[in-house]
Amino acid sequence: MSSGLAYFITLVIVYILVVWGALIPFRAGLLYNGTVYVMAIGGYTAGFLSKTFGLNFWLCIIAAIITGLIFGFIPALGFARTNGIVTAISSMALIFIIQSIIKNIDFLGGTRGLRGIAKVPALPWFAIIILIIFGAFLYRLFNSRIGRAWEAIATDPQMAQTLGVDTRKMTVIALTLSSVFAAVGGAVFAFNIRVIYPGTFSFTFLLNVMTMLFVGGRFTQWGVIISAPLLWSINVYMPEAVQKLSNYIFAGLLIIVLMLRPEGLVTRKMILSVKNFFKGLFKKKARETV
Amino acid sequence: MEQTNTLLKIENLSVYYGPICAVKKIDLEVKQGEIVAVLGANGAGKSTMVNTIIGLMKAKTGSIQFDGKELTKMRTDQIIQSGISVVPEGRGMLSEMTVMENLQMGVYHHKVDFNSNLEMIFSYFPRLKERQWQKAGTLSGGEQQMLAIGRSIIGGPKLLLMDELSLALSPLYVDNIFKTLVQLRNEKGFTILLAEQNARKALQYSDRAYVLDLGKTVMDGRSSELMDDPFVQKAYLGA
Ligand SMILES: Nc1ncnc2c1ncn2[C@@H]1O[C@H](COP(=O)(O)OP(=O)(O)OP(=O)(O)O)[C@@H](O)[C@H]1O
Ligand SMILES: [Mg+2]
Repeated sequence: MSSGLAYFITLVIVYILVVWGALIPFRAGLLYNGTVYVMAIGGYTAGFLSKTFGLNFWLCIIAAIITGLIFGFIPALGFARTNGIVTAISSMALIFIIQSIIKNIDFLGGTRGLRGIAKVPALPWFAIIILIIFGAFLYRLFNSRIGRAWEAIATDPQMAQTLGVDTRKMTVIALTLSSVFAAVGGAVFAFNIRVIYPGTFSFTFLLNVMTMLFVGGRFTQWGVIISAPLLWSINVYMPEAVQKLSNYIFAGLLIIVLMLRPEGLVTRKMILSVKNFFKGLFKKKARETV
Repeated sequence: MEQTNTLLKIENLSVYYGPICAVKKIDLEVKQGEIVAVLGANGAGKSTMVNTIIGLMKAKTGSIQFDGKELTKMRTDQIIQSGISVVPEGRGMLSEMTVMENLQMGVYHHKVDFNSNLEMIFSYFPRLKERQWQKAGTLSGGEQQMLAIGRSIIGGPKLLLMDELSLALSPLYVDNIFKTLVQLRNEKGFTILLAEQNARKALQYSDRAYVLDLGKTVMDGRSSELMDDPFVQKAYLGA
């Protein structure tokens, strides 16, 4: 694998993980923009541990999972009491806060950035393994009792309560698990890019994440697997003149897709028909063997 | 009569929306195995009462005792867990979820065997079995009402609250639904509290009834007797 391709693949996987992190709260009906904040924490955790203690990749990932759990859980206690627009704005503010905090911490490199993160030759393969594990976990999660409770909350919070769902607890669980995805994404990101700055985890990044989520489709976990490589290749494989405009292109695409195809490229209906197609295949097979 | 245990007892209940008093004084009792109707015109406070029982609204004064617990101090999810299910006004379909997923939400808090209870629901409402993979939002009004009822009983609750069950259903269908309720009570021992505008049907199928007017319980008695009461006939049966 060429180093350029390895970098591209790994970065796309980072985006998929972080977008999944952004998807979980959406499925639970939360307008949450804090994913990039936890991604920064995961990235700095992994980067710092690798640089300072020479911890290996997998231990850094585990550390990122733990910090993701903690730093997802704490603000979630607050967001369990807010709603809609308040959650949207205050979670966005977390990005500001974490940037300023990191800038002022010397051992994290401040504005000069954190350098000296170990090189992991097998990184794209590790990233693929992580993607599969987390993808399978997310699939199970969305099809579990918790996943159904989230969907009920997203559809009708009062009805969800009437069915016995503790909406606050479910909010906390959603934001905490979302943060694990974002933190792991951040950790893989740190190993891929190997120098991280506070400004890396910015609103531009959030725009990229949200564009991938909405263009890919915010009702299934599959959309981003298409939208992330598609959109990111604009930044990599297009002529430089086009690359320079990528922020505009992303914002423009976001608006166009939301207007023309509100559910995004991959819709729930598509997933359902794919599922039914496979069910049909198995049924036919079963019939033929009888 | 073996109906002696009081399952739900509401005393001196009042509920406010800000400064507006929606429920002034409700006193009501439901015994194990009974079907009790609460009748009242638009705005009488029936839905407010139902929502207060399950903790979506907070009581200003009074108490709600259910199965030995004081509900006014509990959260909605705890109240549901303690054994109350609701068919809310307007049915409360989770419209993007399938019939099956809606039924699964019905056992969210109840430790029951989903599959055997599912068979029970399908035996009462075979139509739901045919439609199990359909999105709830695409069901007809009558089918949605079946699903709402199925979802409320699948967890095996001790008490069923049904708000405006007859809303937007044809008269024939209303009879069917109420007959099913009576059957469920007789065969499965459910206890049911109905909030109904449709006084005629509610009195026909319930054991006892309360009349709610401007947030107050103004009359109560056996349904058969209330049906013959001149005041009830004039005010609620259009006689
Ligand atoms: N959210 C609210 N804010 C303010 N007032 C409310 C609110 N909900 C209900 N009310 C008022 O409380 C009173 C009782 O309403 P409620 O919905 O309990 O009546 P109801 O008996 O269920 O009527 P219906 O048969 O029309 O469903 C009404 O006067 C209504 O206007
Ligand atoms: Mg009502």
